[in-house]
Amino acid sequence: MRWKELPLIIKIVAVVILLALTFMTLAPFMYFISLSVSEFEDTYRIFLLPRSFTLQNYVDAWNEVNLGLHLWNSIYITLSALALNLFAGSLAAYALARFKFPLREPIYNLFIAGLILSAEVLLVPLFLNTRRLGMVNQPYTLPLIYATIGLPLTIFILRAFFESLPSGIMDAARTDGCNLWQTFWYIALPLSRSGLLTVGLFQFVFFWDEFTLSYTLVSDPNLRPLSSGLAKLYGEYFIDYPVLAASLVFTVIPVIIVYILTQKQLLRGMTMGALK
Amino acid sequence: MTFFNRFKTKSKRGVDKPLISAEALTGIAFVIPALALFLIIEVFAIPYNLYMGFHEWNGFRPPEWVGLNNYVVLFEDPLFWNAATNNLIFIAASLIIMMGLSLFIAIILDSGIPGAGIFRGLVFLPVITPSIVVGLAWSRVLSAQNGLLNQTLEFIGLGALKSDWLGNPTLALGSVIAVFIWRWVGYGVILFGAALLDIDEDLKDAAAIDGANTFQTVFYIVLPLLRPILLIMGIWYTILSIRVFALVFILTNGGPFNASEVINTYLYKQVFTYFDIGLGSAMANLVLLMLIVIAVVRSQVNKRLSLD
Repeated sequence: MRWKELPLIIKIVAVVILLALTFMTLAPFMYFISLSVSEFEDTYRIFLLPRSFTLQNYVDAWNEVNLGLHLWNSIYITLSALALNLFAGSLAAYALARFKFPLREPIYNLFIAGLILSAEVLLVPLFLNTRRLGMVNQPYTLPLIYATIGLPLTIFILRAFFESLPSGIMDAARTDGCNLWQTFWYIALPLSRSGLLTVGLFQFVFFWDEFTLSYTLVSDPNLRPLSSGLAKLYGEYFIDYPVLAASLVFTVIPVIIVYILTQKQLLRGMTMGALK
Repeated sequence: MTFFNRFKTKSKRGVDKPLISAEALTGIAFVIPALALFLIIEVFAIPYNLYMGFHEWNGFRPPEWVGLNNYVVLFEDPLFWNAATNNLIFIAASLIIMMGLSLFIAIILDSGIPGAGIFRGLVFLPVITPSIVVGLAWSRVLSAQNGLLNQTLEFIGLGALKSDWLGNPTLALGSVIAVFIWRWVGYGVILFGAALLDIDEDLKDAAAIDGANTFQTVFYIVLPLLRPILLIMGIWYTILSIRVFALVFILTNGGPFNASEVINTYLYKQVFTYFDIGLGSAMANLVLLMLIVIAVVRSQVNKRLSLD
């Protein structure tokens, strides 16, 4: 089925289908981007393109619905969860790949079993326990929980990476006087950069998106990330669609920037998550 | 030193050898941070959920042991069956429509059509877009108040089909599933695309020389070779269909009149609207059971495909 050898009619049909699919994929994005630069009166009148142009919605989103605060919360939660997840995860994955110790395989299998859990299954216990332990509305609650939920995948991917490293390099480092920690930190970790990037990008997308737990475990509006912050605003008193659309643009832009910069590794990370 | 010596054993050569080696100690030390977090936050939740599932509790009075009553209540609750059925419809739509569509798109892209690379990049955009953005954007697109879909229908002369896509009980579930497919179809396109690349071009050429047309080549050569990835993708889409929550919650919150309710939104309602924590936990346990069954199937499939 090489393109040049296909009959013209099939080529035309294929191109029309692809154009239609492109339209369907992009139309919702175009629609809310257009909405975000429209005057309020045009809310129900715009089709795909804006009828008016204003940046006032972005200013309003920033000043009136406190978008900057939610954006900062999202960045803080995502990055601190990422740091904790990658640190604890790579340390454990390295030990599970390289060291012999009692219960090594059962511990690894326990982590792998965690791959099936979802936030909704954990919701009730996490809700009750964060309440009981006074962890509701603490800035460290979501990062701790997100980092932990991401551990099984991080450990699964990084253990395979550490196992594939040639052990000669690490033995050489040991003979040169590195202790086990230094071998891990200065030799193994830098050699596994691409594995860290792959799994880190998956976790970034997941943490930035996470909705269920941030919606239920945080009740202080000032601590909410974008995902649950916008949902609460929308649900409670927010029907200014152009301002909402501007907030959505803010929410999606960081992910799109990361996607453009790291397309290949991000795709690899996301598909690895699907395969296991 | 005698205290410490008790932990050492004499090796054959008579040299003191620690009972537990430095390597093992370091290994345990390296695993402890991750393991502690994992045990306290995730593993602990499973028995806790099981325990709560046997109780009736509204969060204020002390929990009361009710045995299997929560499960009996669930099995007699038409709204629970309605939600479970909707999850099944999600699964069926994923396996038939979403798998079919993503395979179809992947095959078109694999033909070397101009712009294939750009489209591959675009089709993954919805996958990484946060649910809150997908949900709120689509709730405007599908709105009865001059939403984008109704305007488009008007524009192409199908104005008669204009509807309240999320507010009409007969349409709501289908609309939510359509958004779900829009969001996740890119996964299949990318994975099927990678699998198609691996198929030897010569094989397809040989079929063409033997007189197979395009459709025969797809059905008799390409599809059988894609069987492993079709299985893997089918399992992943089933998992996504069971886990679905945020999208439904934001688009319809299970409404109107429970028309688009899924188990996770019903669970949420029982816990946070009716404060029936025991019933919510019981549902979480049933969801977990389904996920475990799928994990077992998946490990069998992986074993047979020798991926492990």
